[in-house]
Amino acid sequence: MNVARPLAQLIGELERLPGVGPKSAQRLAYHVLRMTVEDVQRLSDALCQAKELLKLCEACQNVSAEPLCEICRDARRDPHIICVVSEPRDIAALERVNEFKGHYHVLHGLLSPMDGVGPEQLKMRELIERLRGEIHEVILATNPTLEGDATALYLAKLIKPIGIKVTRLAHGMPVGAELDYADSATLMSALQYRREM
Amino acid sequence: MHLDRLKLRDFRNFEALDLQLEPGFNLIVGKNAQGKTNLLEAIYFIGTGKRLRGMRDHEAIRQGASSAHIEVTLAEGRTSVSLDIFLSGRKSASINGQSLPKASDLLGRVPVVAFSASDLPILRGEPSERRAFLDLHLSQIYPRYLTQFSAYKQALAQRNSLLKLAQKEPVEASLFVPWEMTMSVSAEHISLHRERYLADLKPEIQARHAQLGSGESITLELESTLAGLDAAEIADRLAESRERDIQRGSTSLGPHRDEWILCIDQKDARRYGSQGQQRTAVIALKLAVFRFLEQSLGQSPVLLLDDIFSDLDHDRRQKLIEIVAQEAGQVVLTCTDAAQAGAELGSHARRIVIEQGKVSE
Repeated sequence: MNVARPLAQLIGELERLPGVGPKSAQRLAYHVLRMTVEDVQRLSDALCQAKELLKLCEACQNVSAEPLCEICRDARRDPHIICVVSEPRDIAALERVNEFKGHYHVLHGLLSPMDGVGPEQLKMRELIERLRGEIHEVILATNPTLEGDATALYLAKLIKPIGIKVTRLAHGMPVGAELDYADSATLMSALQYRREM
Repeated sequence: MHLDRLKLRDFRNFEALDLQLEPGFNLIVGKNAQGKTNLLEAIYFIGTGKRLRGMRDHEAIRQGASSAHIEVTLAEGRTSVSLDIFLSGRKSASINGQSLPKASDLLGRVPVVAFSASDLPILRGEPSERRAFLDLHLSQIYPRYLTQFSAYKQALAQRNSLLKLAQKEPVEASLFVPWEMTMSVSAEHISLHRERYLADLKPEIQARHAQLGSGESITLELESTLAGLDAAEIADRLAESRERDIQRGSTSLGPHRDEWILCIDQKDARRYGSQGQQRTAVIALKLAVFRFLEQSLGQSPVLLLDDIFSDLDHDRRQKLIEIVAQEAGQVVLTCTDAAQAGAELGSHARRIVIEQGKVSE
């Protein structure tokens, strides 16, 4: 098929984005052509500015426009508790609950030798560095998957000897779920970690 | 337990099928390559999530269709269980129209035991085939087994990657620990279940063997690299074997190296059994598996017999039919020649004739 070169280039760039296949890339590209020049300019500016202005927070490694992110600068939050998560989007999930008032630390991934991810590829050294301050508790909130559990375990072994309390998010039945339709792994873990009433 | 109805859409060579099944014998007759086994395959698939023969998941889908649909109605409670298989290989399962989180959660809902001519060489095959045999039947009884088993395999793959990395550059020992922890907890669980299962089958297989007219004794033994060890001890063993494992680039001990053997009169049947002896032993084993599954679940699994009669002499065929008629609940069996099984089955069986992916009764 003969596609004008600039269009082919646009489609090619879009295709490289995660979750965008050839068809979606084509659809998006034609949509861009229909947009006004102003809208395209705004989109292009937003892309460039996001890349230019956003860095990782010096403390928690979350995405931030300032050297320190909003959460780390917030004086009302408790800096003595650090909740460790795998991805920046996990912070958004926890913040929506509006329950946790401590600080975060983003690892940017999980240990996975198969994918070539070791401690060096994660923000672990930065976390250990932060623990030199006055920290009372580290909550390990990595996903309850094999890699999430292994990463939590590795960190726990690293942090506990320092004398800091280490906790892990509980797992069990989702709220409002029916037993009959729960997957067996969740159900078993819920049974194992049941609590007295 | 028995199936009341089997519905297929775009499964293998069946475009659409709606078949009423009898609680007792269902004899599926047809020439070769008409789709007899595909019917058994469908029931097996929904019961175990696995293929009966070497079929790939997406090969379950009829040529030109985008997904295959299998649905069975259980006579008890009129529960309908269905499984959809998509070209991407994705599977989705539902019960009474409500979808389950994972297709593997179906396991155990429709208990089945299949027995086909291709099972006969199981005693001579690779150790991995014999392990797969144990794992399938264990996971039908204990859903937890499957969870532990996949956790083990995943952690094993991660540890093996670390071992290979360690051949090139130094890797700190603490990086091995989390994977070995998961592996040792799962390994203890897996070994314990495998050992107990073989022990539970032992008296049963002995009795079946005698019923089939063989006087020899049969025993089942698990050969394990970790026999009798608990999780903490297994973790120690894994830690000790790190150096050696780095050199070989893979994990040298664990359930993935287990082997089980069947002995006929104390002799390893893998090497010493005659073909006839092996065949009888495998039938006894299958019947024992069936019986044990029935006892564990408190209900009779559906028994699928795929073209096994042609491989048996008249005597064994007669005895097998006798045992099955006496003990099994619902049986679905295939046969190329109706007369061959018909005579022995008498009028018990309902005949279903398959021609070109269609049913004519």
